[in-house]
Amino acid sequence: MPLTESATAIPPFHVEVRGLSKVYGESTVLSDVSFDLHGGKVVGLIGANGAGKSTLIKCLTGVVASASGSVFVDGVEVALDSPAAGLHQGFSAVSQKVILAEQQSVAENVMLGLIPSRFGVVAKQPLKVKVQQLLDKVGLKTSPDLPVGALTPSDKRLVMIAAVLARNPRVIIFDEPTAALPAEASSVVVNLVKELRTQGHAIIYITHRLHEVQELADSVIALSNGKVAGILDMASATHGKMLSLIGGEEVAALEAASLSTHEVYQKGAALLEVRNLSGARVHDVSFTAHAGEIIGIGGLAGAGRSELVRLIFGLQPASGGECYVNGKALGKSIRSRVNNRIGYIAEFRDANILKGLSVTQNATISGVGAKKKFGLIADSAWEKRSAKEVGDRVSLVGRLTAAIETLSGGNQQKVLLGRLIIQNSDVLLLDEPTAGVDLVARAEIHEVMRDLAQLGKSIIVSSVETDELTAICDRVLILVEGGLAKEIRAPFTQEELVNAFFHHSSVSNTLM
Amino acid sequence: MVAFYWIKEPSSFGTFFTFTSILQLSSTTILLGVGLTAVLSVAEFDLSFPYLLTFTAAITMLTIANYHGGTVVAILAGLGTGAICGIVAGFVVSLQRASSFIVTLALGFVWTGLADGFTKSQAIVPVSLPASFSTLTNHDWLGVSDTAWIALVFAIIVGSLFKWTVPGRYMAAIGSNPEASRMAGVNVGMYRTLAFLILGIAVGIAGVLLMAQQSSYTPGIGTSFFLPPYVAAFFGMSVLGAHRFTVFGTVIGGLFIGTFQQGLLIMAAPTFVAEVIEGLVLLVILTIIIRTDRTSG
Repeated sequence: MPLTESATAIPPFHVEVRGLSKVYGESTVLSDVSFDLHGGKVVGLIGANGAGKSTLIKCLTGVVASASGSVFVDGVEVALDSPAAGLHQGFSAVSQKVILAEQQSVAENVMLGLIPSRFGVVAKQPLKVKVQQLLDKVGLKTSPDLPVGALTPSDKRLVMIAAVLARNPRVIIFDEPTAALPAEASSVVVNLVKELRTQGHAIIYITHRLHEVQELADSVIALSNGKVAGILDMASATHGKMLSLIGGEEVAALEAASLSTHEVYQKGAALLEVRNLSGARVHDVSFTAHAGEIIGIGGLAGAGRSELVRLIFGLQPASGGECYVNGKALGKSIRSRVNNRIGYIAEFRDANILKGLSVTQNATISGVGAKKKFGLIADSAWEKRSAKEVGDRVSLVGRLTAAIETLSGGNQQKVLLGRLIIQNSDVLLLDEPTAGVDLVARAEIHEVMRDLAQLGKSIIVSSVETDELTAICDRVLILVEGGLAKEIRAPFTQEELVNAFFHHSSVSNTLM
Repeated sequence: MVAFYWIKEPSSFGTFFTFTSILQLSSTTILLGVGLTAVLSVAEFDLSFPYLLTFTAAITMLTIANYHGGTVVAILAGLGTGAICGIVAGFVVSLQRASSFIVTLALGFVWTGLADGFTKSQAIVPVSLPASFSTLTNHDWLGVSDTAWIALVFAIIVGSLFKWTVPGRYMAAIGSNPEASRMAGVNVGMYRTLAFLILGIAVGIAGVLLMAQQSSYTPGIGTSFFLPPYVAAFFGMSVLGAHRFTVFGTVIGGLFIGTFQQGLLIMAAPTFVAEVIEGLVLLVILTIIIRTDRTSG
């Protein structure tokens, strides 16, 4: 097998998807979906949860058979009626969840089911060469002999991509590849997708992060209720246009309305004072959060956004400085934060949700202790009532008695926001509050955050998404290498915000 | 299984007497199983409770036989030992320096050592015991023995704790996700300790009842009680399909074990058969859980 294979570009090809439909029982999940794919092009695929994105992938990879419609490659119809047929035709998907054998080595995971053998014995040398080629291709620098369980989440993602590439696909579908990754690690995947594009693969990139679509895609397909709501050329795909395609005018309006509130920047009493706070990757940060304001924490990858929020909540030990509420130092414990009405939602909401407990119980966990009867009994009438109230307030979709893990990511996040509301938090620390959340839910979560600010809460939000910071924040604290470099106040544009990141980074780099 | 025994031994199985004897046979398993359920609910393990059972039995018997402390004091001594040791175990586990597996394994040695120290590793066979103590387990009410009643009442109390109270909710939350509970303001260490305290109390009660039944203490008397509570708890968790440890499930699991023990007694099977079957049941259950966890995860 020639070593140069990985460098060989795939000859140009053209895929036509025509009239794809899929019906499950009574409900039509996909209806008459048509679009084109080209080698060397990335197509962004966006849509709310339940819009039919997953089903579309399953149809294209042969996991489920479509009810009607056809797929042509260079004008020749291909049958995609089984996963094997999908692979044979060169259609492969990198699934959203990490599906790897954790105890097996990287090499074994990459080559699972493809291990070359001579007379039934594993051919070690060809295996090694092939695996190394694939790992080079995805840019994974770890040893192929390491067990997958020892890798970071983003490296695991790369192993999954390498495993897909081992099957020599022409069309690669990425299903929210960055949703479960820390913001910092997402760029690795994004760069790899760009690399695969130059090698001639046709790529479908599914994501809720519109800025990734804008960075990567050549065109974008919006799905809504199983139909193609629109196909946009990237040149004409503005943020607002994409939103209105997938969520209807209502959502677009919801987002657009936010930009105007920036003019009215009013602050109330000081609720949280951060003084000279230092810790891992954070140096000497001071600021005061007031009632009624939404403070953004922005900065480039590795600037220490997440770390700052964790430090404030006491999840990481501070090496210096303190946080004060009403002039009182908070000390080390997390409980002192909760008792002083500071709430926190982690970057990965799995860190906050209580699986196996109901939506109601998840929402009331921080409030139930204050509402006990006879000093002991949980007040279930109060629980039901407040869960219902708060559910309406955050536009929750889902039964209150269902186990929390059965809800979509966006709705889980809404329940967690509801928890902070029931807990009556004055200061809300939100780390990437809309990561992996569909765009409709994202707009709704932003709406809730604005409502809370108007009610006199103080919201501190760390986000990698500059459009999010621009849309909701009254001011943004820009971190550079863990230090507070600049504060930028509304009104500002997304471009001004991004420029501020780079400007101050370069200044500090030259200083150092 | 009930049907199998019924068909094999129609004359004696399925009568009320058999049902009450099943309850009687299961009572210690249910008592310990319910205590263990509290610990499993906060996602911890306890390997030390059989040794603690030996220790509480030793203290109970010493108090009544060697120090002539009287029935009430002996009961309090047994219960107190269980409770204090439970709190100690809970506290050490809550430090979270080592897994509860290792912590309770080590504590198991400590309890064994203490029991041997107090009893000089000797059996205690008192010539006579106060009648109020030796007849402690001879009462029955509505045809059901008082040991069975104690186990059922304990199960109802702990079950209610989990179902209706705030501490119960906190323990369920900790079992689901300790970090999330901490971030939600739950005092994780305190409620972990509470779970171990519940088990400690259960072990204390079991130690007292065991001594009242047997009227003598032998070293290592608690060790044979290790497996059945685990089988009961895991049986309840997997077979009832809740995929969570529940007190109700554990009670059903305890009755299940009692039923086949009773059946084996009726058929006069040797005791090792029961042990082999208990082990196999646990094995099958764990295999089922692991498989369903993989497919659902």
